[in-house]
Amino acid sequence: MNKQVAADQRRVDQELQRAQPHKTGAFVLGRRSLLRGVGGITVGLPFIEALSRKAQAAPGRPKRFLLWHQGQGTQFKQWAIPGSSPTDFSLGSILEPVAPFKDRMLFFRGIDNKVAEIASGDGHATKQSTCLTCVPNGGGPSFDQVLSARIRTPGQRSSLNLAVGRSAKIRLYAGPGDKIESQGDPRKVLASLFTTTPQSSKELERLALRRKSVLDGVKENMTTFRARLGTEDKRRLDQHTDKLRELETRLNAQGSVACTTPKLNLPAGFNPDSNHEANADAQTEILAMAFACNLTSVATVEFTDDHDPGVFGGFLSGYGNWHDMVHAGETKRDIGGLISGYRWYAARFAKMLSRFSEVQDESGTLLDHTTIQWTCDFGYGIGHNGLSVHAALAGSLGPDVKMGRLLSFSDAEKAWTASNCSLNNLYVTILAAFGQKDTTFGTQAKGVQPGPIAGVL
Amino acid sequence: MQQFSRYTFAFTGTQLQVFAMMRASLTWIAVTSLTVACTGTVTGGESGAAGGSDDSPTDKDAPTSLPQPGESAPLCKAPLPGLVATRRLTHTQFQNAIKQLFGAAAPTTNNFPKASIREGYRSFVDANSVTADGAEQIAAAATAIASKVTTDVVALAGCTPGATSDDACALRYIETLAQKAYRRPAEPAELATLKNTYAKLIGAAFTPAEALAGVIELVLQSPQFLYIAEFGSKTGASGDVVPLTDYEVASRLSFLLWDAPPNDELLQLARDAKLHTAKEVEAQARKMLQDPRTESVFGAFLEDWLELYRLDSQTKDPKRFPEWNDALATAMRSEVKQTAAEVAFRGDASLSSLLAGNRTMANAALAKIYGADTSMGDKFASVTLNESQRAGLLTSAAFLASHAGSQESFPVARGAFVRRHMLCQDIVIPANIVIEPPPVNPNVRGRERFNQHRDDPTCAGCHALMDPIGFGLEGYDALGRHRTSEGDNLSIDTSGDLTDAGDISGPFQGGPELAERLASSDVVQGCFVRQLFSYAVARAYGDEDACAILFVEKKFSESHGNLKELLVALSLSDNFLYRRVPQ
Repeated sequence: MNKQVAADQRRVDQELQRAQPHKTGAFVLGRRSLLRGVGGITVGLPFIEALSRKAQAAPGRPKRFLLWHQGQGTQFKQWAIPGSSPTDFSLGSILEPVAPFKDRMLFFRGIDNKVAEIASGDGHATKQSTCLTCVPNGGGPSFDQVLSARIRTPGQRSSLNLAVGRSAKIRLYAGPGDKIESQGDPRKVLASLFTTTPQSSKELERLALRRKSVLDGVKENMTTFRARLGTEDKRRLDQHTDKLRELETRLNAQGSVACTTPKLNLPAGFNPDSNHEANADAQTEILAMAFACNLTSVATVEFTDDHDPGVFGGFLSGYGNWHDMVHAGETKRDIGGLISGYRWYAARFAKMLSRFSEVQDESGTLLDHTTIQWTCDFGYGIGHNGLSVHAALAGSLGPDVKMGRLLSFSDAEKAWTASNCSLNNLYVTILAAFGQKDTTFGTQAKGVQPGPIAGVL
Repeated sequence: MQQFSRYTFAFTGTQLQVFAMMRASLTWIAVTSLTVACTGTVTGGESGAAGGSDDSPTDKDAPTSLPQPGESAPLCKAPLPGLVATRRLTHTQFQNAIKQLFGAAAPTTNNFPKASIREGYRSFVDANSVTADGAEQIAAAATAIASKVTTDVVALAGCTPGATSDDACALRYIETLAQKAYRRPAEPAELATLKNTYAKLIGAAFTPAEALAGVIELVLQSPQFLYIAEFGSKTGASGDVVPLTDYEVASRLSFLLWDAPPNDELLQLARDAKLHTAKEVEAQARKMLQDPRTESVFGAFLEDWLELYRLDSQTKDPKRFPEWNDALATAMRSEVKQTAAEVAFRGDASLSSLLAGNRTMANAALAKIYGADTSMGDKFASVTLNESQRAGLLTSAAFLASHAGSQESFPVARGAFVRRHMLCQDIVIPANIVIEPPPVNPNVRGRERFNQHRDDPTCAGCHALMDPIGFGLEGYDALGRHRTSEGDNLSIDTSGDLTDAGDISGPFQGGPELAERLASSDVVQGCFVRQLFSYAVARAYGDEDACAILFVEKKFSESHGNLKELLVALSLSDNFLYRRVPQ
């Protein structure tokens, strides 16, 4: 099937799906029958359910965004492997570490970085300057900056940019040509974020007391008001009171359980530039608490030692460094080492997901309210090009978005097959998940279409 | 002595139980009809207008069911309102209330739950129930507002509040705030709650500004502020009818006509017991209609009546309609609101002009759709439409584009709207069928795509009531543009049929004739009353509202469909002056 036709078909299918409950609902429940009492409600029940699928737990409204980036691509044969449908797919050995979160992730095959085609520089520079900005040569702000400006709430800092590895200015931009440094030393980050911000326990107590006094008053007013209501009105007010109580429980929990100053378990003689695993754990803990304490709503993590991370020494089997091994690719000897390297990155990502799924946030966990993007400069490392780049989302894109899917837009295993889907579209999709109405992000390079990726939201 | 002179008796009705039984039986009819499958049932009015006979000395002839729109029936002799629920402020009402409470000092906050409607009106009680997210939003809004307005606490209170628990300035402000926020003088227990909270916070070493912020937060989250409730001027047993208090009438008027709480003037009238007779209420309502806020209320009603919320989920094929975007959808909504305001408040105010007039308010993007002069640019200007192509709201781009698919018109939805919202007939279809619009085919006319509806007897019953009306609007594409051909150069056939549509039954040709027909109908006029009534009482109308609706319908009819008179009549109807004591 011609790709454009396929894309159109997908869009139409999506539209139909979206439109269906609406149209059906409009017909099935006449205005009067809907509200007419027991008979009408019984008739309508399956449809009311269909109309309010939101009621389910798990993914909630995303409030935060984390961009998690590594260099050097992946190996698609051992990544997310397509089956008979978007929900029927398997994870190759690279992705084994994230298997527990398969249902909380969306995998993509065939999203191109088309803007890289019009950037200047070598195989790395063209991707590094575009993969987070979608503007050639870093000519515009990176996505985290754009989103942060839109969704940060009063009192929150702007995007928090962390590195695993040495601090470096590589892919993030505040504006045209204005690179941002990702901070690699978790101890320094901790000191700058948390020394002044957490209120003293006395101040927290005062705030808690104030909140309690106000809510006690509200509940008193609820009781006074309720006394004069009829049965139906009482029922409705009680529903409101219940929600208020839930909110109170949640707020009380937020102050004490979830948000604390992070404790970093750093090994003796910790060196942030070389001790990558401990560094990733520490930065993950800082991220989790920065989110839980609402210090920021957007953060990034970059693995800055793309070429020769010391920790990969054991996989290299004769290659000079990790970068050389990636270039050699799976067609050469010792594919096993390549897989091990990529899986090491997946394991770091999985640990972060795991931590996010433990930290309480509102009625759920951080994972329930955070959109996480897992990106990479390349797709197939051997090509060092922008075709079918490594792309996945995790956490939540909203209560209605079904996770646990693999969406393919071109045959990722033929790295020379261009797709009609570009990274620009992925960012537009994420913007849409946050209620933003943008139809484009970055430069509309040749072959870049406007709009979000069909079938995601 | 009875308050409202239109009536001579106080009413205590056991009749209401009869209503309840009638209601139950109607529902049952609807349910059983479903098991017969899609043969089509038009509900409403099956029961006929059986005279409610009970021993009430007040009104032996009061109807126990609501006649069909346009059917005449004698007015009730005693007030008999339907139940009006206690209802949460809508998004707009909350915004207006905050503005009224704190004036310029109030921050603009959009952070208040919006009604969730897929049908019905944004005012509906059920569209404004408080969810978990909602409770959080309300709390967040209250906190933000309280902290902002107390930055200059002296300006807020008009005096300098002191750090003692019985500070006179602070307590005076709290009383004023409560009266304004609760839209009536606060009861002693309610005042005690607020004053005690102030004292508690001062006791915990909060500053006067912080303590007042706490009290404001409390007030803004309290049901006394968040809910509009009526209790009446005296207590009664379930089913009794009691007059509203003057304060409650003030709230009724201002929320109905302004979507806002009563201003100082109305509160003063209530305090002086000057909202006490129908005459006083009428005078006040007429005065309030001059305020532009009434235009917004009427516009909001029309948006929902036309189901324009469908625009929010509309997608249009970018190849066929590259001009489709959010700005255009917003302009479409705007057109409806502005045109309605022109007709109702600056024009002849007649429903028929609204339904079949040939002038509209449009910007260049809309004028292009209408094939009119586009020199006005982004500003809205009055545009005269081509009478052979357009007439009234039903041929507006907003209605046509919202009742369409991404590529083609959707005659079923267009017809269903007329049936349900203009003729007040419910279409009930079985729950277990899949609705799948037939695929678009450039070689087949739209109306032929829906042949299955005609040929399959299980579908034909319902669709014979909807599709033929929609087919009459086939002269407009999915964006609302007029057209004379469709698909692969097939000529358009705009013949339609209003089956079983009372005084306007019969075949018609195209949009303008359909609009003219509807605009001339007593059924449509009566149905419009029922729709606006539902919007105003925050729930779907029913038999229990028979007395009120008959009164409004009669007044509206006597005024030859004058929309301003309709609003006045509404504010004088039983549901707005009386309360039926619920269970």
